Amino acid sequence: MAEGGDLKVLGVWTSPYVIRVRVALNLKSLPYEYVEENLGSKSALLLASNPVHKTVPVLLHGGRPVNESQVILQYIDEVWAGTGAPSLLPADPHERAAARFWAAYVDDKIGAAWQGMLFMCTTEEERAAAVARAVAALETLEGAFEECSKGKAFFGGDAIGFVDVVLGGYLGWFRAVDKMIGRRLIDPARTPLLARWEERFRAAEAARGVVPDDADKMLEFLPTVLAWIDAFKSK
Amino acid sequence: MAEKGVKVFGMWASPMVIRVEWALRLKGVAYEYIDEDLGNKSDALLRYNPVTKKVPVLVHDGEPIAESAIIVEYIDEVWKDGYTIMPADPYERAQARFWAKYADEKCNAAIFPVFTATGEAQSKVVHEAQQCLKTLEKALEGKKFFGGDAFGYLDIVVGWYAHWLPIIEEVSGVSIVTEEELPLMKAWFDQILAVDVVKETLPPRDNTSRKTLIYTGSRAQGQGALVPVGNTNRYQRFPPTAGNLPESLPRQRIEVLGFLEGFRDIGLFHIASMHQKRVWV
Repeated sequence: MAEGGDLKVLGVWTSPYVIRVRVALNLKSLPYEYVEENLGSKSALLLASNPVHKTVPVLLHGGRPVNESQVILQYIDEVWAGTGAPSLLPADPHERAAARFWAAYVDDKIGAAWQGMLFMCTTEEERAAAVARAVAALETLEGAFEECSKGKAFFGGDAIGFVDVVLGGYLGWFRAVDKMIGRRLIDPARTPLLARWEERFRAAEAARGVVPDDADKMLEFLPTVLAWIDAFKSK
Repeated sequence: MAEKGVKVFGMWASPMVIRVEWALRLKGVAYEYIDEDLGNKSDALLRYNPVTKKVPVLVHDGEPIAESAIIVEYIDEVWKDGYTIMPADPYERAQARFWAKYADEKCNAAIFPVFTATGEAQSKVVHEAQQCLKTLEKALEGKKFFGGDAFGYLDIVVGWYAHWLPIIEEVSGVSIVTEEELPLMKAWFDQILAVDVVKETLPPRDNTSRKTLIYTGSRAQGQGALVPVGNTNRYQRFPPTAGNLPESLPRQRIEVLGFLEGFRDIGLFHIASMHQKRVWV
């Protein structure tokens, strides 16, 4: 399929899952309409496009919805393959499997810890435990970065790839948590490669305006997200 | 050192492992199967999958790949001239991946409690499991398989339901997939069980093979094994640990619970009398 076809993303500006999709679209230089959703009062379009999960991100391509962020990333990569921008996933099947593995690991370990440290903890002890789990996972990812990057700038090599955008989606909230706990999750002393990776990722054109860098703004938004989660739980 | 060939590290009762075998057999790829004792993992497994230490692991010419759904896609990409597993169209592929994730995350989480719940709580969880499966069933509408006319990726990912769910129903004394509630899924079960690669690989269902079962919890906390108390129908944990396994469940349920843990935590079962090594060509 050639370029074009109207693209729309339904999202929430803080969501790691939405941010990664937007970075991917930017990497491919694909124009899209962005719709900020209020998950306390979901739009008819959202409910119709993602009836199973009723959440963001949703990618609408020519009106057809694609849901689940990692599924969306692969869809974008496949539909707009060979259009000039580098692929998110490598060409070699073994490297693809490795990238998918680490992306799954990120969402499994980092994702669960992120939820734990922001949305599910009721005490500071619980938050600290979730932070510890995140840090442990980041230490594993430090090793993965060394392996995958082979000395280059990103998990994907010279160019931002699949694991980069998947992990990169969490950076906005990481900065907010850093402020909350008074130290960095991606600590240059413990995970120096990832600390430098973060700088490069944030500096990338594709991340500009999409990966939040204002911790205060994120923390101001946190009660809104907590209220959405509470409302969902009480259903 | 050029290590050649295909190996699958697995556990005979694990539905996640069977996905990999189905994919390899569809492609006509010869592989060596290595059955793991998950209570005592081999050095090789730990070397090939140090991150999660789980099965299945595919080792292809010495290079390991972990995570069953990822392995299936890898197999389709490497042996691309063989049987087509993934849909050709990117939108169809996105749908298949979406439903695979839904099944693995939501449906499995809904099915598992059927097994440990009793009484009124059980009918509630059965209903929830059915709701989940009804949502998944929509992807079958008008089709023989999730993949359309042919057994495909999503069939590989969820096909294990066709063998394992009836077992769960039998030992839990419930009905989940019925003609009334889930007619499409019921019909699809028949289609799945007729597929050659499925028939060749399903583990035995009969009670004899489960008589010598010892349940070993494989969660990080390392819960103890369940051992029979003398000649009774009761099991006790050795060493005793806290856990969410009710001690007073009847024996059959406990056997299949372990069997079932396979789909949630990738094979927590240790079959004392079975340590298989199969070579399929």
